[in-house]
Order: sequence, then C-alpha cells, then structure tokens
Amino acid sequence: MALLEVRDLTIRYRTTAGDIRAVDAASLHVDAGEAVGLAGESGCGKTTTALAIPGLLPQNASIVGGSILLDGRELIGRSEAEMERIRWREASVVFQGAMNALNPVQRVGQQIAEPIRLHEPETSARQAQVRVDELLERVGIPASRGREYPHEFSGGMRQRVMIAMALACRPRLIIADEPVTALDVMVQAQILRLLKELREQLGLAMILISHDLSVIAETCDRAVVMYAGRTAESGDVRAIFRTPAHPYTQALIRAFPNVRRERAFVAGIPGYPPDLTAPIEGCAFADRCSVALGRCRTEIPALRPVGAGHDAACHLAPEARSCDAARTPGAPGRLAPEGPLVRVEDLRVEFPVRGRARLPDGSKPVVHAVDGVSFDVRRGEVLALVGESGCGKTTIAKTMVRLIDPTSGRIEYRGSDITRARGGELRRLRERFQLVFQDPYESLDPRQTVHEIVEEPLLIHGRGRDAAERTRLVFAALEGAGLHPAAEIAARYPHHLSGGQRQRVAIAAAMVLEPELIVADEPVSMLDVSFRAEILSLMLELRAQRSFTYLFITHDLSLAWIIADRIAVVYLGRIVELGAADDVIQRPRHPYTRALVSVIPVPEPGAESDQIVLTGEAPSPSAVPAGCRFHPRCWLRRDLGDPEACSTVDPSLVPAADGRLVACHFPEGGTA
Amino acid sequence: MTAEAFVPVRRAGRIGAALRTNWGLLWSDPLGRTGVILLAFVIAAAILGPVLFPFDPKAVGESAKDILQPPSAQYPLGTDELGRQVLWEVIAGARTSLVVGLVATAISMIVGTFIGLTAGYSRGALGEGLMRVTDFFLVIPTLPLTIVLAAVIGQSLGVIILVIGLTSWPSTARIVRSSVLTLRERQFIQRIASLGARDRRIVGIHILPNVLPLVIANTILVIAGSILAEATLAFLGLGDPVNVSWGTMLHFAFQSGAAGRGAWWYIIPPGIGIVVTVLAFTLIGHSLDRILNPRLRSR
Repeated sequence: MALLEVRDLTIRYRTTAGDIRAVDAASLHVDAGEAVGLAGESGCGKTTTALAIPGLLPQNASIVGGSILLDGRELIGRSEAEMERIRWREASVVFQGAMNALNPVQRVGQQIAEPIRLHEPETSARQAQVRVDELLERVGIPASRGREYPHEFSGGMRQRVMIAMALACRPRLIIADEPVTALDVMVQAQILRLLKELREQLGLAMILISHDLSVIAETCDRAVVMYAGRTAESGDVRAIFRTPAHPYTQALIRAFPNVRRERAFVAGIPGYPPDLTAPIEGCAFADRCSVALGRCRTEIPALRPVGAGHDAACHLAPEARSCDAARTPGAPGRLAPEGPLVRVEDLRVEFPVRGRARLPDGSKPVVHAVDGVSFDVRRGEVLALVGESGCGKTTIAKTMVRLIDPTSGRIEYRGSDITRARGGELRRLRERFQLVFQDPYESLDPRQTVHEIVEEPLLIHGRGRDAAERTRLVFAALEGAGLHPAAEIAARYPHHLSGGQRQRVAIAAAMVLEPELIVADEPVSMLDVSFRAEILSLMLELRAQRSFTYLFITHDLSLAWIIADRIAVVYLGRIVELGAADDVIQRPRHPYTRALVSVIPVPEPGAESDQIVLTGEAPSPSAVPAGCRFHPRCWLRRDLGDPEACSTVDPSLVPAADGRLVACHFPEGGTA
Repeated sequence: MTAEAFVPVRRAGRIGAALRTNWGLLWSDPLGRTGVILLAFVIAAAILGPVLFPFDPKAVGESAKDILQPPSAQYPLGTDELGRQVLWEVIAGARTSLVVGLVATAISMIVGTFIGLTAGYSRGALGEGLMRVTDFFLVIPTLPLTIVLAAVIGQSLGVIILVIGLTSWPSTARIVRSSVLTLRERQFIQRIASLGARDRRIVGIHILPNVLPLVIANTILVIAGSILAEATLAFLGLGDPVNVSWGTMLHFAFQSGAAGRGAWWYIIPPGIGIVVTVLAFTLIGHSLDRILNPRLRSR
C-alpha cells in the first residue's frame, strides 16, 4: 500500500479577483522510501498540492474535494492539533528560501531541537542535544557549529540546517519545496547528493517540488507533471523523460538544454497558462498545444495509463507528438564576430572593507572583487560570463561599462581609452552600452507606463524631434521586442504585464537607443522555462537584425552554452577559462570548469556520470588563497599529488594547445 | 492604432486617476469617511461662516448685562467677557485654525521633502550634514523655541505660521530620507542611472513620485499637529490678538476668569472646535496611510 495517496484533490483560493481553482482534481501517490518529483511552472499548483498534505495552506485556501490518505488515514478535516503531530513526526517540510526560514537570533542547534521538545516532551534536554548533534553530523555540519547563529552560515549550510530540522522527529516523508532553487550549481549538487544519501540511509520517502525538470530527473524515482492545477502526466522518471506522453511534458523537456547531448537551441511554449478564475472547458493545455483537436477543447481528458505505471491526461496519448520544428540546431542568427568592440586589460576592482579591522601589516583589508581580468568583447558576438554568485562576474561587467570605477587597469572602446571617461564622453558611452537586468518586476518603475519607460532613454539623450517622433521610435522598439500591438501595450503599467512581457519591455527600452553593446545580467533567471527560450531567441534575432553585441552574465552554464559564442568562466574575481562555448562546456580544461560542468543537471535520468562535487564553498574575495586561487578546492591537484606550483605560483590565463585560454599549471592534466 | 494616433498617458491624467481611486478607498473606510464628514463641517464653517455671520471683534457688548451671558435665545452660545457672541467667534476661529494648519504644513512639507530627498540621494558629506541639521531641529524643545521666537519677532499670524512650519519639518525629512535610501538601491533606479540620466531627472521623475504617497499621508497628520501647535501658542498668549482663533479664545477665557465664574459656554465650544478639526485630520491621515502604504492595507 502506498505511504501517501492523494486523490482528486481540489483546492480554491479566495481572492478579491474571484476564486482561483489552484488545484483541480490532482492525484498522486508516494510509496515508502520513494522519491516523487512534482514538476511544473509557477502557478501550476504543485506547491499548493504538496503543502495541503501537512495542512500548511494559507488562510484563504480551502480544500473543496478529494482525499489525502497518509498510511491509510484521512488527513482532510483533521483538527489543527492533530495535524501538528503529523506534521513533524510523519511528514515534515523543507521550505523554500532557507535564508528567511531560520530565526536570526536563535542558535541553530536550539532551532533544530525545538520540534523535538515540542513533539516529544518525554525527551530530556541532554537526549535532545545528542539528537541535534547527530542530525548536524548527518547533514554534513560539524556538531560544534550548532552553537552558532544563522548569519554565520552560508546559503548551502542553512539549507542543510533546514533539512536537519525536518529530520528532527524522524518522519517517514519529507516534502522539499524547491530545496535547491537560488543555490549555486555546486552547492545545489552538494544538497541533492545529501538528500539522496539521507534517503538511502533512512529509507525516507520524499516529495521534491521543483520547476527544474533536470533536478527531478536526477533525484527522483517517479515524477508528476502538473499544469493549471491538474495532473498532466505521472510515472517513472525514465518513462516520462524518454517517452513523454503529454504534449506539455514534451514541450517542457525541450525547454531545458541538455549539456550531455549535441548543442541545440531550446524551444519555448507559445501562449500563456490559462486564467484559473474561470472554469476551463476541456484540456487546460489545448490553447498552447500544437496537436490539439476539437475534442481537446470540450472534454476534460482523464488521467489514463499509457504504459506500465505511466499515466497521462491527454486524449491523444500516447500517440501525441507535439511539433519538434522549433528545436533548431545551434542558436539562431549567428554572425561571424569581427574585431574587438571593447577590450579590458588587467582590470582590478577593490572595495574597502567597512569597520576598523587592520591586516597584520597595518593596512586596511580590501575585497578583491575583480582581480586582474583581461578579455575582449568582439563586435557581434555573445560573450557569456559564468560563475557562482559572488565570483565578481557582475562587477566585471558593470566596471566594463563604467558604472563602477576600476581600481586599476584599462578599458578600451573601439580603440580609445575610456577608463577615466567623464561628463559628456561618459554620457555618450551610456548611449552605446545598455543594460538588461535580472528581475523585470524590479527593473521597471512601477509608476510609469510602458510608453514612458521606453521613451525615457530618448528623452535623456535628447533623441527624437518631438513627441510624435519619439512615440514612433517607442512603437518600433516595442514591435521589435515582439510586443504586439504596440499601442495597447504602451498604455499599460508594468504590473499589468506578465514576467516575459516585462522583460521584453526592458529589452525594448535597452534597444530604443540602438546601442552597440547590451549587457544582460541573468535576463531569464526569474522567468518560467516556457518563456525563457522566447526571450533568448528574441535577443539573438535582434543581434542578427541590428548587429548588437551581448555580454551575457549568468550562473547557469547550460544557458550560457546555448546562447553564447564564447564563454568566460569566472572564479574569485579572475577568469580561469575562456574559449568557444562548445569547447568550454563539452571539453572543459580548467579543473574548476570541469567540476562545474560535471554537476549541471540534465533532463535525462541516469545521465549523471562521474560528478566532480567540490566540497565547501568559494573562499571570500577578501582572503584570496596564495598561489592558484582555486588550489584549496582543486581535485586535480590532489590527483597529481599536490605539485608545489599550485600553492605558490599564481597561474596566468594563457593559451592551451587548442588556443583556448586556461589559467591552470596543468591544462592538459588528466584530460581524456 | 498607429503611433500618430497614440495618446500617451501623461502625469496630470494619472494623478487624476490616482485621486479618484484613493478617494473611493478613503470614502469606503468608516474612519476615513467620518474624518471627511467632520472636515467638511469645519471647512464649511471656515468658508461660509464669516460670510453669513460676520464677526467683528470690535462689536463689544453695550452694557455690563451683555458680559459672559449664558446661552439664550438672543445669544445661542452665550457671550464672552466683552459681550461678543461666542457662536460668531467660534465660527471665525475655524478659518484661522485651518489657515495656520495648512500654510504651516505646506512649509513643513516642502522643506522636509526637499531636505529628505537631498539627504537621502546624495551620498557623503552633504547628506550626512543635512541629517545632523535635521537631528538638531528634532531635539530642540519646540515650545520654548517658539515662545522665544514669537516674543522676539512679534505676535502675528505670519510669525506663528513660520515658527510652526520651521519646527515641524524634521519628521517629514526623516521619513522621506529613509524611503529614498531604499528606493535608490532599487533596480529600476539603477537602470535609469545606467542610461546616463542626470540626478535631477532621477529624483524628480522616479524617486519623488514614489515617495509622494508617503509624504501625503504624513502631511495630513502634520496638519493636525500644526493646528494643535497654534492652539497651544495662542492659549499661552503668543497668538495674534487681532485674528481670533480657538486658542486665543481659550486664552482670553482663562484670563477673564471664565472658568472660575462657571462660564462653560466660553470654554467648551472652542475646545470642541479644536478636537473636531484635529480628529478629522487624524482620521483621514491614518486612513490614507493605510490606503497609500500597501503593506498596511491588509491589516
């Protein structure tokens, strides 16, 4: 019998805009010791479904139908006191955003002990302490650190604390809500590995909620794909990823790049998810489906078997094959890059450390945010700067476009020195260089209309003879960014637009001045996967039409791979490898790049081969290690028997045999 | 629609729309609506009162019989120590109180917003310096200062307005500054800065409209404070003896010993005038605070 059985669960949210049918007859089951992934884009009801199990829905939600059986007992309709007992001892939750889920003024050990004290009052303080120490060791934290406060822990360590807390009362089921979202790829690999080990050691069942199919492919036994509050498909991960039966699942898988395969541009899903306040006739995906029939719009498809332990809610399954044409090899609109547009030489940016701290030699400590970086951006190319958060990639880019003043070094634009450009010269540069920011919700003034937002760069730089001329330019930019009809969009405010549309507005505002270089800082990381591909292909189309050059900043190597011509890998304020995108991702040379590439999750179960999971996290840029800055974490150094050069000589970025630039003493070391 | 036919939404239209929605929200809030109704009475009294019932301070009673008379058919709210009608006097006082409250607050709001914006937006010495000045004004005891100023410069309505205005701006400056400090780090401001916009544009077009709702809610509360301050000063005898206000009424009531003589009709009406006006502004202010500050809206 299944440990957990959710059947026809229907949940509504009461809002001022009307009732939202967030979950609509969703079903799922979890066997003891099994890991089930709950996949889908934002608003699909995956979190609502999962949080209904331990009774953690917000006030305005109400369960209007269905049943939740845990170990054969019905959970719906139980009192809060009963749910409280079940919540920790039988099913516990690892919440999203470990940054905010811990109490900043309480020691970490005490916070882990709290559920034990509450739910097992018979446990003595000493026994509880022993359990806390065990739990910390189990999640890979030295027991002595239990006396520390949350701010002394990094993001990954805090997520480990959250996991320890969820394990405190020895539950049989853990519900992990986006446990690795917002973590760097290496830390993400560490946490996923930890969850896997814990499941094996403790025989835990797990529900893993994630918008990232790759993460689910790698860690779960079965997957449930949700769309518009309904179960679209469920089954064994191998079956789902190899022979997806539902057109939505097929499209979703195509939206994720797979670095273990040939490079292929990802495809988006046209259209938008349906409005959940109105009842949906027929299949919820019909409007975006490339193979929908008339029947799909009138009759709700039931979840029915399409293979062994594999169900799909599609009238056409298992024959439905949504069109694959959008998956074109390589990125669209590639150009042969020409000479350098911007050249950066030995750039250094140092920030003073606040406070009165002094180094032993009496000097003030500084953060070496950028520590001797040289590269050029060629006209017409997409250069990606990739690296973990805090590695200095954004600082490099902002310094290059003169938003941050460099401490030393030289920046050249079309051959002329702009390192110290001031006044009018700097204003002209602001026209030539444009920025697109990560968060389209944040980067647009909420009190301006789209028209004003896109017109503003023209006003700042005195472009356009009169208002009518400017409006023409604004409309042209909006149409160019794929916002139709421009007149209708122009009159709206940012909060009337979807995330993808907002990012298009930001792009329109960036291109209205016809710049040469666009610096895009994580432009798609806040967007749902089905919109990512659209924005990326828009950027590449614009490059082909208007010969833009892009500097693309991202933490996501697989995204960099599909969009960039060249990739520069940044570690601790320094470029450690720079080369053609395919070379860097498919044949990485620097040991850091090789480790990063090896842990990229892919939407293909069983593909994870020989992961190199680095331990710990990057050191602080205020205390850069001597010699090669990567040597304390380098696995290759250990393999080579700790050569002396690694810890004494700082390697420079020099061409390796194939012309690629690598900052390593042993660029050929251990390569196959 | 083509670009030629497009009519962009401009600032004036937007402010109109914002006023309409906020007015609707204010009216649907019971506290806000009470405040609005009370305020409407006071404003009506201030505007119509002097037209319908002109109060002449020189129209004193003809004989001792007219002095401090209790309410009667002839004198609806009795008479004061000079035999003048208290009712006419209370109505005339509304105008003075409102004028002082509004003008003093306007001064305070302009000075406070300007200093808050400058201090919040400019990094370094200028911002720090302005905040020290603000702190200085925040800690000086307002009442003694106003007493001294009024005594030195002289007693007139203008001086009272100026004194109240110049001592009540620091709280506005503080609120504006802290809001500017967070706004300045927001991505949309950084995006505009990266476009090469000049500071004046960033502050005027992007920061100011975003702090304005805060300033407005605060302003309404400052009006209430200013009216009280005027009443306090006038009660202490520092008011303008020519322009009758509720504060001066109370001042003369106490000087003439109205309380000792049981002339309650001379003390309670101006008191009620002050309470009603201050209450009206306070209710509207708190209601607006909830409406314009979305974080408080759901509570």
